[in-house]
Amino acid sequence: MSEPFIRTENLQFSYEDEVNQTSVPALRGLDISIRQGEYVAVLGHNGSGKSTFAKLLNLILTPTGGVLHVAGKTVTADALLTEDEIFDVRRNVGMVFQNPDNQLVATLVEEDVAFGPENLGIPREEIRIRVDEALEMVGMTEYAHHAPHKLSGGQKQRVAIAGVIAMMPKCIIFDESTAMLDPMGRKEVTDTMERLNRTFGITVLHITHYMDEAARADRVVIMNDGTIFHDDTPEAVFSHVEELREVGLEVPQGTELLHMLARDGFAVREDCITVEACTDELYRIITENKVRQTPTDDHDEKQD
Amino acid sequence: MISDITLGQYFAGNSVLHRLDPRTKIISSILYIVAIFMAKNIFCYALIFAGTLLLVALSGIPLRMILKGLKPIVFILIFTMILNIFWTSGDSEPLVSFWRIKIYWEGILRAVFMALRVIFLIIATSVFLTYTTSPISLTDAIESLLGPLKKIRVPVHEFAMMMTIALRFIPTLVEETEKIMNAQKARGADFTSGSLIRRAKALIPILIPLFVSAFQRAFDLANAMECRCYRGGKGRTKLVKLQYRVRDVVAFLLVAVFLAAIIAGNRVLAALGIGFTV
Repeated sequence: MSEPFIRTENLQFSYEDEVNQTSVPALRGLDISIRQGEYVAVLGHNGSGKSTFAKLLNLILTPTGGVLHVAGKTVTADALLTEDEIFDVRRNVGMVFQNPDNQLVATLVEEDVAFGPENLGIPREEIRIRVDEALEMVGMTEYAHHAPHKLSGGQKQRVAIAGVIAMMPKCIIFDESTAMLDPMGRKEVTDTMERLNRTFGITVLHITHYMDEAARADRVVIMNDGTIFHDDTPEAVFSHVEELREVGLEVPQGTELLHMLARDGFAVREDCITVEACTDELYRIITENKVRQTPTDDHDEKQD
Repeated sequence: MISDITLGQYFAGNSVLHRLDPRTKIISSILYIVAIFMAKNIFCYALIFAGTLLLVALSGIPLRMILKGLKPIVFILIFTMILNIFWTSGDSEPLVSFWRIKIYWEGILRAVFMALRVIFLIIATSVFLTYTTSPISLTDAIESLLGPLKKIRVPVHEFAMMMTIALRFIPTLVEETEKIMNAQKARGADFTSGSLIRRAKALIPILIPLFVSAFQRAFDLANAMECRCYRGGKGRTKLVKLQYRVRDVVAFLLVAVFLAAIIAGNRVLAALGIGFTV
């Protein structure tokens, strides 16, 4: 594909503060392009503009400046889309929100998953197939006839994902979809995300503030104060430990440990981001330094 | 599932009445109500009695549960009976007569049949609708039956959608209320003692957070629905479509015949002078 699925040129957005009659900038000129099939994590502390970015992509918000190209449509502050064009963008760009309770519409899991395709006006037989496939993809087939309020947070979020998948979008945006979940639920959801991307080639944009989740993506975009601060592979981004700390982000714990070791003069690689890679690296330096290390140091390192 | 929601008294089951199309049940219960009010002759009343018993038997709902459902109307029943007894005058000699109060045989009869009428009405509608039809399929049926009104721009689909969402969020808000109550209790709030006014006042710290969060949920949900391409009922398809089956046709015919029998019965029996008219 020549044109990337999402491309922005100096994209800006300001919120109107009605109390003080001022406008508060949330995005101050964003330039980014995301190709079809990428798995991108967007990181940033609160107020960095990451959720605003997500809402713009789905046209819940419209830009106040700059250009946004999404799903073959071009949006600027002056040239807004018609209702039908917005409809077209939304069927291609699905969105999963933070609170699993507030995005399920129906009283039965199956009917909720059908909600999107129903809105698209897809024939009944086709909806049936899509609903069954979508539930299968998120592993919720056996819950098809349950009521949503009886499910766990992770399960509800998977139902919400199924609801988006059933619309067969090219891209799914996860707007802090793991923020309200327990560790089990987070894992369920990130595993699902990864599978959607790897197996089905769906573009995944994961907005989060969890480093370990971002580390699973192909590409990490760090946002700070409405602009892009870093945009690279997770390994490259997380090697900037000090810089990230300055913008209020913590790198994964294993990476931080390696960084501290490197600062203390150990010859370690700093581009390890997953727990497994960090463990391997630690194991390597422990075994290499075995002869020279005192047993206490050895013990300390193994604990992590 | 939906039966867990403390709304209505849906009694999960798989009886013939449960399996009927909800639209059939709504229309049938209306016809049945008409039949109940048409019945004038005592033999017609007997027929209604038999028909209601048959309905209860078909629904598979325990009789005990149905009688329990009548409890709330006992007071109204007694009240209307008393009114009827004292305010009906007849041609014959009064049975009891003291001061200005006269009780006629007709009055007693009328009171009894009035009460029976209400009891049959409640039993029939609850067996047809509330006990055997889940709220969600009732909503679907109402949307489908009122469908023709869309032509005159009545937002039928939107009303049905609102009902569905309300049903969906009842358990969520109940859960939320419990959470808020616990949070306030943990800070020393007392909901159970004191005067009525005091207790009502104690509810304010529950209601305010509940409303705030309900509004937040509404905003979120509206966003999520828009993202899933919702734009009202136009051009929308449905996963589950209500479908009339053979049993629905049979049910319609039975109820129609029943109604016809009541109307004919009234005339024929009156013409023949059998039984008496109430």
